[in-house]
Amino acid sequence: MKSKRLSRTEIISFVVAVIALAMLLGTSHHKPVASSEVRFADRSATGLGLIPASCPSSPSYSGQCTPPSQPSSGCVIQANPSSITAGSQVVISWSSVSNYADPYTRSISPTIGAVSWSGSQSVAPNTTTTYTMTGTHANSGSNFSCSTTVTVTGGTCTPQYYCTGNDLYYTNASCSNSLVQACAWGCSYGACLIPPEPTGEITANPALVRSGRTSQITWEAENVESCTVTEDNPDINDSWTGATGTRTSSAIMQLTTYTLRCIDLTGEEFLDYAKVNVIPIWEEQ
Amino acid sequence: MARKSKKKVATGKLPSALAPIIVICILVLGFGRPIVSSARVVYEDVNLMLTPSVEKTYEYAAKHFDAIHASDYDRERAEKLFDRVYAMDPEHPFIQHQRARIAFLKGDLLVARMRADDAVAQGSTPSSLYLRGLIKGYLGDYAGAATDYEMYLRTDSSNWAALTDYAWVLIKDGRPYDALVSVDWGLMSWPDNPWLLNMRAAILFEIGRYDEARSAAYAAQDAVAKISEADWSVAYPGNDPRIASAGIDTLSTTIDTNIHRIEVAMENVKNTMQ
Repeated sequence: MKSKRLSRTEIISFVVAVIALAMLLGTSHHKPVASSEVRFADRSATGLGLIPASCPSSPSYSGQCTPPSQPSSGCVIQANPSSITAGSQVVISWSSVSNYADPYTRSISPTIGAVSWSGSQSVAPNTTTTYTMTGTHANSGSNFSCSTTVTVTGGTCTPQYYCTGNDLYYTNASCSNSLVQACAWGCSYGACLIPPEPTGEITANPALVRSGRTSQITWEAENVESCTVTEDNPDINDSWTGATGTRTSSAIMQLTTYTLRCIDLTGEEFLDYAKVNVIPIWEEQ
Repeated sequence: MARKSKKKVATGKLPSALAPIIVICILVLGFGRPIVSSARVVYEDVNLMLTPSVEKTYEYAAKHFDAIHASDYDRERAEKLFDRVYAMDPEHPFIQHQRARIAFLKGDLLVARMRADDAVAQGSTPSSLYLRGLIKGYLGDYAGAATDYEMYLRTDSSNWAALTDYAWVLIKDGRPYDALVSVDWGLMSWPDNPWLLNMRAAILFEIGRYDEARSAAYAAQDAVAKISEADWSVAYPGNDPRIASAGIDTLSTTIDTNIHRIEVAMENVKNTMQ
């Protein structure tokens, strides 16, 4: 019986099939690889399962985590608990839209003030209070707001003044709060701070001159609204304004007194003086 | 003497010259994708050998590490190419970020953390903060993770995944109210997001608001039923898209378990009060 020899075509077909199979097997090692977070489930303290989203976008393909549409209100604010008795504390928590390239300024009123995009703060309102967060977009001027109300029940209050920031408030016996005044120079211990004391000084250099010479007049004042400098010499007409200054006087031929007159922050006036004397000329008789 | 005729006699069988063509066609039709993929890899290697380039190497690596183009996804190849980029240019933008992602997916969390620190220091993308927060969360440094998420969210406070993960580390760090704000903020844009809804359920349960927790859990269950594998693979962009169904199963199973735990707790409370 003759043995069947493979033809050239059959050999080629076989080799091609082997190569194709090798390529197929070569790629079959590329199996799905389980990643660390695929079956990850954490637990809360009370035993419920927490599944993180685990979606740090590839920097090469931004927006892989489905870019969202912006919510209409721009912020969310909550009070926990939302109902308290007078004298208790409540935590105000908030979160708002932010944009790194185009920031917002945000604040919460009353009492909390300027805030960052997210955070929380304890407060102790004595009366039912609505906390409102507002934000203003730096470039477009568009803004957003949201609010939450803390209901306060029971309790009586000692009438008193108190400060919140630079604002002076008053609480009455019914625990009702009202704004008394926005203090121009700060608030402390339930009272607006008085404005700082004004200071000022005027000097003449030299204070003794030959007749017909000039002197340099220098003055400096702080915590004032305005100042003027005048003199009492009928032969000259020096007059200047400003809280600080250095000027050259006119030619002086007699004793001249320069007066610094300033109006301080309360509207009161204070004065300072500088004299310029003239060296006498001796005449033989 | 007459010469023998060389004419072949038709036997009814296919011409043997067609046999290899038929084999190739069958294999291409049946297994075309892996064959094409292998050919692409060969092409890339030849291309890089002939014209070596950091940018081209990075481009090929990123292409193999993209869940959106599932056919090209090959984490091991991506890792090899990213390591090659790092060897050529350790300061290349994003390179440590990508290498950190790969280490994270492999479960090498300490290596991932080191690379993420480099990526954050490099500052090529705020996404590195998210990545480092994620790694810290997996390592149990919840307070540290929260800080990273906060910084990342300053650049993009509307990233639902970051809000979900921020809430995760906050609740683990004992700050459930802050976590609730984060989740509620995200739900304003994505009211049907199952990750956010499940997180909300867990937070509400944590602070004793059982009725609301149950509502959120059922909403999460409805939402996860609607999620497709494509949606899930986008949620985990570094993950192999071919195992998306496993991720959905994990989420779905967790939600179901949470519903059960919540209802058991509510029943216990009711029994205690009676």
